[in-house]
Amino acid sequence: MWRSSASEHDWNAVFTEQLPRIYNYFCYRLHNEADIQELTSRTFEKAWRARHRYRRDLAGFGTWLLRIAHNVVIDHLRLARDYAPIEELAELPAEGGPEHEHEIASDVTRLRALIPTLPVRERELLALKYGAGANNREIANVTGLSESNVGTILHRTVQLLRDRW
Amino acid sequence: MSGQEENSMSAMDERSLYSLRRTPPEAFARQLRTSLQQQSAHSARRPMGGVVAVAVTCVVIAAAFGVPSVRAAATAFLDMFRVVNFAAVPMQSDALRKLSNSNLDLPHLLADQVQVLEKAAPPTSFATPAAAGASAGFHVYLPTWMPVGWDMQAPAVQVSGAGAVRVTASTARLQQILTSLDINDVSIPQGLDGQTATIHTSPAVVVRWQHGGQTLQLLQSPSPQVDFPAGTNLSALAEIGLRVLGLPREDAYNFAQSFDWRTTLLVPIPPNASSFRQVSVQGGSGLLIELTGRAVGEVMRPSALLLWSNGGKVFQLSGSLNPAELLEMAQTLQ
Repeated sequence: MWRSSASEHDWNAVFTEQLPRIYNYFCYRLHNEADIQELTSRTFEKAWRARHRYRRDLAGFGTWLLRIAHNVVIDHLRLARDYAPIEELAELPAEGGPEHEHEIASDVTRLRALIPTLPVRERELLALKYGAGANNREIANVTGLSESNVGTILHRTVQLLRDRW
Repeated sequence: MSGQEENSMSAMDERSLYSLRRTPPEAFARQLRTSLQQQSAHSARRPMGGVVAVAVTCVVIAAAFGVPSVRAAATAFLDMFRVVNFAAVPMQSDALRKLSNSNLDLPHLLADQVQVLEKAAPPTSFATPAAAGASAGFHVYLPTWMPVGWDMQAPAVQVSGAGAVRVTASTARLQQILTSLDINDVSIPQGLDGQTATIHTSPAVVVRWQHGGQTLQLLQSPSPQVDFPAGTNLSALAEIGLRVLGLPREDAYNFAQSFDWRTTLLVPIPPNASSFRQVSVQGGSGLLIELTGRAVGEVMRPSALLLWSNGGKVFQLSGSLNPAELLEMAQTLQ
């Protein structure tokens, strides 16, 4: 992992491990592929330049990186004039047969339509949980919510999505 | 589709919640990795930063964009510099502190060595970019796209005149700077003392747009040209400058050897820059710098600066936009 004094070797490993997490976190927050890539780039660049400020005793590296991504997207959305619903179905990588592809595409369509209907906080928790694959403790660390509160909000959010599905 | 299939597909399960996940595009991942490795390499060559880097760059840029013209005796010079590429060098706060604590009166030290051959006239306002271009003598490029809310029409336009300054090298002054900074292991090239270089600048057009208290500014000008004696060891001079900025000896040497200083402008990245990267703008080489945003009310506005060269001209686009928007805007210049 990338230590407080990261070496080149560590950086490569960290990048390979963390890129999908950060990229997918933004996939749940943004609709535009260019924005997703831009904010992913910005997160890693900020992290690299601030690497000397990373403290292992306060948070794991992945959590620290997510916190940067969290702030990056907040800044970005503050600037954005509107939050268009997520689109770009066609870019989804398909695995399995046609039925499986169709089923996934259906899930994507529904989820993309429903996420923008959620409050910002719930969207953020979904992105951290299902985009970045963070556990509740990490999410609590990133958002400042208590771990139990994160669990409760996520449970209610998933239930709400299930009802609206 | 049967009703059973419909029900099966309608049910939301855990897998559904992960359905937006996808693999980052390979090309994107590769490009980002390369960009970060480049920053990493630059960072390893630090610590950069310092007043001299700023001063050196400011001399070039200010001379490039702010000084009126004069017909210099170009025949006295046999080699020249023009901006084609940019080399970014991150500055460190501690290096800046060291320089500022050194009690060096850099403006005075430099001013004695810089002779303004003709003082710049104040910028002149024009009603339209076309009128400004007619005065400056070149076509003024304008964006065909701006972010929502910005009005491309009726910007403020100003033109600065061409100019030239002459810089005379002084090994005594240079040694004074080095000694003040406890740099005792660099060699000043022999024969440097008394040599002169002349910086020629062309007219520059500045176009400004305003929106809700924010400003966007586009500056464009033919590249400045620096004439200097043939045989000048630019790498050695660059290495000295990099040492002054705080680079360790070996790193400064390697960095100085890495660029063609006849076509590369050294750009110190200030400590308040949160990121920077090399970019291509309409086929030209560029440098995109994201600065720490400033608060406007309760909202933190992003701020960025984009430098690039293309077709013998140098462009600078800066203002309260995020880097992606700034780059997108630059790509639409016509």
